[in-house]
Parts: sequence; structure tokens; C-alpha cells
Amino acid sequence: MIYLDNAATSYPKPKSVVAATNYAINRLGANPGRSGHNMSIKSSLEIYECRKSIAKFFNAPGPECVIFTLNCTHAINFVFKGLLKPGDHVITSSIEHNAITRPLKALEELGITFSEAKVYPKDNEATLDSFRNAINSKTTLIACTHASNVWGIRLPISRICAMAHEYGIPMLVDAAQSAGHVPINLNEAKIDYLCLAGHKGLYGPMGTGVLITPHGESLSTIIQGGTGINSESYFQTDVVPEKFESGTQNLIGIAGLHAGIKFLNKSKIEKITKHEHNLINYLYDRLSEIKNVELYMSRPDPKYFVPLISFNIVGMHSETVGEFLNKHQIYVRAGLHCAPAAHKFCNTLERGAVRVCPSAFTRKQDVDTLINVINKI
Amino acid sequence: MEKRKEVFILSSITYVMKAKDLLNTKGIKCETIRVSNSEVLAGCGYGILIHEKIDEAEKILKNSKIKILGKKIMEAKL
Repeated sequence: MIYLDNAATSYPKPKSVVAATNYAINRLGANPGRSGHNMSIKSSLEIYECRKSIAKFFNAPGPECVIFTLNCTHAINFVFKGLLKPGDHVITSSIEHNAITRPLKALEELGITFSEAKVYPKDNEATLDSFRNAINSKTTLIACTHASNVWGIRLPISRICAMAHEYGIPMLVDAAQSAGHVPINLNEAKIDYLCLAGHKGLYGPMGTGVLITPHGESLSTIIQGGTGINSESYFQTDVVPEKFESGTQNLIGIAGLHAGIKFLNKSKIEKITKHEHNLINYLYDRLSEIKNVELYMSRPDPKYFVPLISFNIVGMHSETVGEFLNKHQIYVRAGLHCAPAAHKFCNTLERGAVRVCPSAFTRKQDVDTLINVINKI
Repeated sequence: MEKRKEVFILSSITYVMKAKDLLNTKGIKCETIRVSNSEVLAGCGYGILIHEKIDEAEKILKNSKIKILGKKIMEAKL
């Protein structure tokens, strides 16, 4: 079996991640942040250590800025629904995932509007101008992806963020596809809300997401409940991060995510990304040689792209290609990738595209096998 | 002989862990404990039990903007 669907979720996970989840379920089984016995304190410590690792990895002000969520979508919803008010306007990009567009569409019912700034691949100046031109007097947030989950296009988030701040507008970055592939420095980029998936490039288990923000105190929470502190009160605690983490936390997943971050620190993110880019550029070159393959972007320069490619075969629906590859035990993602805006961008809404995304564990021979099978179509 | 120990009641388990981390790096012995029915917490919460250098520990936490909600003095027999 060859797994090339790492943009959906990474597989396999590092052995250390499997070991950490196993340890957590067997040895740290107590509810974190609830009781005072040793096992509960130990499980709380595991969660804290993971917060600390994440804060360090993304250069956040401190572990208290790291909020655990179910996934990246959950983190994005936390910000939209905790921050936006009727009359507000949000700017997003023309290549967004439904994680951004669907909540915004739903918020239109409350009188919140949004507009899409056009993205110009490999032309950061034009993309920046596009965001600037979309600002109006009611704009209260810029929310966009760091990298397209379909085309791999990287947005110049540091520059967009700096521009947004000139206008006093905070910025949310959906880093589901970039975290673990592109170094992100929260302090340098001054990102206000960084939303992450723990189970993709960070190599954690599914069911782990993160919101990192230094503005947690002024953000309302969309869920309330038990937090293990101030239990005498009927009112939600205002202490961050617990304010956003009502209910029992996913200790097993968080322990796995912690191991995933350690794996990245040990293996070096730059080294992994270089390996993935070498593979994806090799794939690009080989696909370019096949007559009936349609490519939509230029050769993926790491400066402008994260390591993934989407393509089509002339005259075939992407799902048909995906089924063919599946029969040869090659696992990719076909269809629309929950990102109709991104497909509209390349006129692939009708038949979608076939997406290939390697990981630290993908080998050159896996790409060769993929090419050989595509040649049989 | 009795040695004074003190519990600093903090706003959350995260801040307790952060405080413990910080004090340990400064060589101050402390531990995480569960706190309930104190003057500042009618319900439950967490605190940090400081074994030594209490005034110094308080100063370190204040400088690091870790809010101490309340204190509880404990006597320990040595």
C-alpha cells in the first residue's frame, strides 16, 4: 500500500506518537485538571507540557495562549463565533477551504458579510493588493488559509498580517496545510489567531486541533461547562485557556500530538520539508512528461508552494482516477477536497482533481510506482 | 522545629504548571496541589505549595504576571 493522502491526515504516524498514545491510555488514564490525586496531576502535566512544546514550536508568548480544540475547523469556528458581531465584514481569499467559507456563509444570517480577495500564485504583491483593496470601514477580521489544501499555493501571511495591522484589523490564519511544512513564527508574523490541525503535518492523532492566540481574554467562548476550576460558580471561568476547554480534554490525542511535535523537533522541519519538496518536484517533472496529464500550477517552488500537487487526466473525472489508483493500492484524495472556492479558482469544479501529498515517510519508489500506474491509464 | 510552607492559589491548573516550571528553574522547591474551600475559592481549583523561599517565589510569580488569587499558610513539622 502506498499512502499519498497526507494532506487529509498523515499516515503512518511516527512510532513515538503511537507509543505516547499507548502510554497515555494505559498509564495516564485520569481526567486532567479535575482531581488532586497523582495520576490526575500527571495527566494535567502531560497536557501542560504539550502546550509548552506547541508554544515554543510556533514561538507563541506562552503555554496559556495554546487552546486545544477538536480540529482546525473547530478552532476557526471559535474565533468567528466568539469575535464577530452583526454588521462586521470579513476578508478571506479566493482559494479557501469550507472550514472558512461555511461558517462565514452561516454567519451571513446574523448580518456578518465577507468578501474574497483574489490570490495570484507566485505574485505576492498582487495578492497583497487584492487584500488591501477588499478592506472597507466595517472590516473587522482578515481570515485566510496559509496554504491551499488543493493547489498548495502559499499566501504571504506575514505581509497580509502587517498590512491588516496598519488598519487595526486582526488576522486569523488557517495553517491546517502549512503547519509542520513551513516554519511559522507567531511572534514575528504577529498573527492574532493561528488555527492548526494536529493530525496532518504535526503528526498527531485525529481529534486534535489547536488555536493559538494572545487575545484569549477578549474572545468570547462558544461553549460553556466544567473546567475543573471555580466550580462554585454558575458562570464560565474567564481564565485562558480553560475558558475555551470545557469538558474532558482529549488527553490521549494531546499526548500523541506532543510526541508529534517532538518528532518534528528531532527530525527538523526544514529537513522534512526539503525531502517532501524533492519528491513533489520529482513527481511534477514526471507528470509533465505524460501527455494526458493536466497540471494546473507551475513547478512547486517551496517559496510559493507547500509540497502537494493536484492534477487530472484528460477526459476523466478525478474520482475515476482515484478509484483506479485505489485498485492498485495507491491512496490519494480525489474530488473537491471540501474546497469549492479553490476548485472554482482553476475551473475544476465539475470534475475535481487528484491530490498527491507526501510525508516524511514517503519514499522516491512510492512516487515511481504512482507514475507507473498513471502511465497505465 | 516547624518550617513554614505556603500555598499560592492560582487561577488555573495551566498557571500552576507554569508557576511550578518557573520556580523550579530558579531552584525553588514546590509542588502542585488541589485546593478547595479556601477564602478565595468556594469551589475547587489548584495551587502551588511552596516549600522554601516564599517571598522570593511570590516576587518571581508577580514579575512573570502570574496572578496569585490567595494564600494559605501551612505548618510542616520537620
